[in-house]
Amino acid sequence: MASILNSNFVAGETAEVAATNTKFTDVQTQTGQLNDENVRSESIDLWHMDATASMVVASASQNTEAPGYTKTYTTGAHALSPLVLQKNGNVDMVLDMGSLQTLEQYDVLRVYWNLEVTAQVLSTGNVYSGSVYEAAGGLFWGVWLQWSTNGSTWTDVPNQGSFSGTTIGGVAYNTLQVSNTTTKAFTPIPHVAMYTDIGNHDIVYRYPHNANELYTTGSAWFLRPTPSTHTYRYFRLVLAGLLTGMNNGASPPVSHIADIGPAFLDPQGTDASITLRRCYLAAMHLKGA
Amino acid sequence: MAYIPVTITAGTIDDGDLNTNLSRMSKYVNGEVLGADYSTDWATHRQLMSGTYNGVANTMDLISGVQGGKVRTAPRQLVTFLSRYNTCRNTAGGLTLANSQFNFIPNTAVMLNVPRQLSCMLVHFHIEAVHEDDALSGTVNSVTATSNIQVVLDNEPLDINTVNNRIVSSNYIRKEFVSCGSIEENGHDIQHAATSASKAKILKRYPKMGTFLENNVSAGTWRVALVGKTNGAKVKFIHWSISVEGWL
Repeated sequence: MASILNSNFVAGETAEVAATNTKFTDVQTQTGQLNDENVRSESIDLWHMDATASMVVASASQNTEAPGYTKTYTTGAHALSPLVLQKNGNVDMVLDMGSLQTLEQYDVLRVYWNLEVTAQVLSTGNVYSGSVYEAAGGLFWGVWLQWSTNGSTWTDVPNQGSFSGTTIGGVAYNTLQVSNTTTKAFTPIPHVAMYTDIGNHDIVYRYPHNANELYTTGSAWFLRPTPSTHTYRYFRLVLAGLLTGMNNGASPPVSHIADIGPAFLDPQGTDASITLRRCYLAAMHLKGA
Repeated sequence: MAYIPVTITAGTIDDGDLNTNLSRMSKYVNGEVLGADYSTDWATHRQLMSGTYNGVANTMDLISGVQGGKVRTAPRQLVTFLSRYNTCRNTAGGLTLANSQFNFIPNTAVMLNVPRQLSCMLVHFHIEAVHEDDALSGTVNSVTATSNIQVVLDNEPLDINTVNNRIVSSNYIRKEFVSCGSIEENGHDIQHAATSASKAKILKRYPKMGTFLENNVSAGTWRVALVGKTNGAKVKFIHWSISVEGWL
């Protein structure tokens, strides 16, 4: 604890420069040693917080608005571009943070989303076999996050790899390279679930198998820029599929998530599809240092 | 009290003035700072350690907010459950699931003391449940039974009237949650060579999860609870977890 014990000036005595200064530098020294004892009855608590100086820079949420609204996304519709998740009225579901936000160094941006799968339909040509590489990873859909400063030009969020045209074994695929650093905002949704019975038959269920088997899934994405900064205002979710895991057969193998949606286009078979409901997207931007 | 020095004027310096200034400085440093000495609303996030969040472990490290949560899991014999017997009893009298009342699902509520208005409240939740219907179709068959489950946030004591009749406002928030007819626990024949050899329970669980964000949440004691209704005999909650964060 800092404590000042200076003696007084004495009337009639000549005030020496050094002694006078010492009285004040003593105070200076002690004020540099204040601790919890000095302010034990005046500690900062929640009550002192400036109500206008929130820890939260911005926060907002968006959903599909009508709880019963459903949207079916098909392999044939998206070709090589991901589909934007939509809300009631069949318009893009866009989360608007209200104004252009600057993500400063050490700020924390947290984005969460969840969605409900109400139906999935297999293609009639649902067993995919690539000409060179087998789709050994099963079939699934992928949902990931994009952001924008103006609502018209969108990019995948940082640390999220983007699909790009790649040639694997002489065949062109739209692929997302599997990496520990570039697939952090990616939600895979299994396309089918298979139950194998003991005995003479197998049962393959679509997933969900019927209207009573709806399920929800979701994911999250975080960003704490160090040291770079970003600007953003809008978020949206995009979906692509059907996807499958692939590798190039090299040693060690290079793995990819390949978009084989176009393989389900007619005339190979009826489009595969997924129907979503009650999509929810929320973002919270916290102040850093 | 605040430090107020005596102004030293031109001419002979009075020792009394100097001593008064020193004495006041001493008092200030020695522990006589009063709450009134602080200007109103002066402490900002700069006076506090910045919060961090670990998304993998779902843990927070902060001194500037409130947080609460609950994880509920139990053996199947002890799980909490929802039943039509207290939510949708009289289906023969015109009562449907849509117009029947919600009821609490025991052991799912979290209470959170919010000292002042929050900029943002963030709720994460997860449900894993199975459905059991022993009467509607005469057999255990979940397909005929459905249910509806919602998360409610209220800063007044929750009661059934509140849950069913209050209008959503800044003091009462309701997350339109997933319909929960999505679960089944039914007898299923396991066949061998086209002959029914035994019956076994195939338990299919379709998880429900979600995030819910609300801005400008008013001060008060907030109850965050799970409510539901069903026209089935029993919806058993195998696992339920909730995490609530509030940020100033």
